[in-house]
Amino acid sequence: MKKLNYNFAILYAKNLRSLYYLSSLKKFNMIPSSIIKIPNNKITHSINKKHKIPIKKKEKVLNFFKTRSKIININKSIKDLLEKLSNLKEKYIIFAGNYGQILPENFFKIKKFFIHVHPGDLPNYKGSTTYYYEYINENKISFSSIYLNHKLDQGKILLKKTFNPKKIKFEKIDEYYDPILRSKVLIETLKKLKMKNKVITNKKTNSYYVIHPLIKYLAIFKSKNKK
Amino acid sequence: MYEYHKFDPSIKRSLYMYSDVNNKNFLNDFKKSRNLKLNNKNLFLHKSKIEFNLKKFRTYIKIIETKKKIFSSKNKEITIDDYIEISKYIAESLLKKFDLISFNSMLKLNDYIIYLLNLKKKCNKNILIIFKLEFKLILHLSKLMKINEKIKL
Repeated sequence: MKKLNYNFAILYAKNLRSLYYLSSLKKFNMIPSSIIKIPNNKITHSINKKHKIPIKKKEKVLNFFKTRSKIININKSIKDLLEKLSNLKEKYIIFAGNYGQILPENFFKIKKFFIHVHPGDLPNYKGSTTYYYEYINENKISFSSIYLNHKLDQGKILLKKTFNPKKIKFEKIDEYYDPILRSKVLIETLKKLKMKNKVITNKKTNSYYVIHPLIKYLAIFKSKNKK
Repeated sequence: MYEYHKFDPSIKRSLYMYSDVNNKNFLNDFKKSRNLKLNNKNLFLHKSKIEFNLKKFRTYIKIIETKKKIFSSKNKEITIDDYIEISKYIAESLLKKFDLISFNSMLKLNDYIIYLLNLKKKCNKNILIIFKLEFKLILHLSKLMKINEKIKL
């Protein structure tokens, strides 16, 4: 397969989402020229424990990139990370950091484009675990890719994709469908980056917070009983 | 097993992330968590100094989600009795105009109230009301989602 020369980097903490990103990038032969590896934080550690088995299955993809991408290891210092990112030749950086991680404001002054795939229809569903809310409110689930900026989920929207909830088993969405669908949107975003597409205006709306287990249960119940 | 009422969310910050709801006893376990053991508790009428208005409502929702605890102007955490009043206020507001974001936060607040209740010997008697209101709202949501006839609440 012809290598697609995109000249981008990936900022990565080891978790299920980032491993799926790397698998998809490998599958489509989109090789990041640099992989900036940051340490896992406590939240990522505790969630990785819940995802132990699928992570072990996906970890092997890291070996593929060892000989194809420049690996840059970051110690725990934010200053070190900012410095290394500033010195990168790549303009586009895929954000695959720790769960719940928000980049500090000064990261957006270094003239890089951080690409992030948000699990929800932006601008209407900002915040966390928004595909549950979107499904409850509108019977659909979407993912949106954006350029990150200093405001939560308010960066320029690059691409939005809606998926058929009937094809999704909601009880597996966190561990399986979320990282897969995010990866699909990421790949499409990277392909479209060079095309001059209209950027969708991102407007100010309410933010959603991590979904309470009871509401999550009701969303899954609805998806299982929909006929 | 439902355990979200057993932890201080300000310490266990990833408490609600990637929650496991796929076991068949989840709903029963949730209902059990709301069966409060109040026999040994001294219930009293609490006079709250907490402000209740639309602006404060939105502030409380945001604080519950981001800081996990509400502090008074003197930088001291408010009491369980005041948390109960806030929960009651949120629930009554939601019964007039439902919104999913606020209901989500209210459920978390109620988990925290149960956590605090286990540490106290007395509390605001409105504790008896807030979980009845919570149940009404769960029924309301299930009707909105059109699952009320299938789900056994």
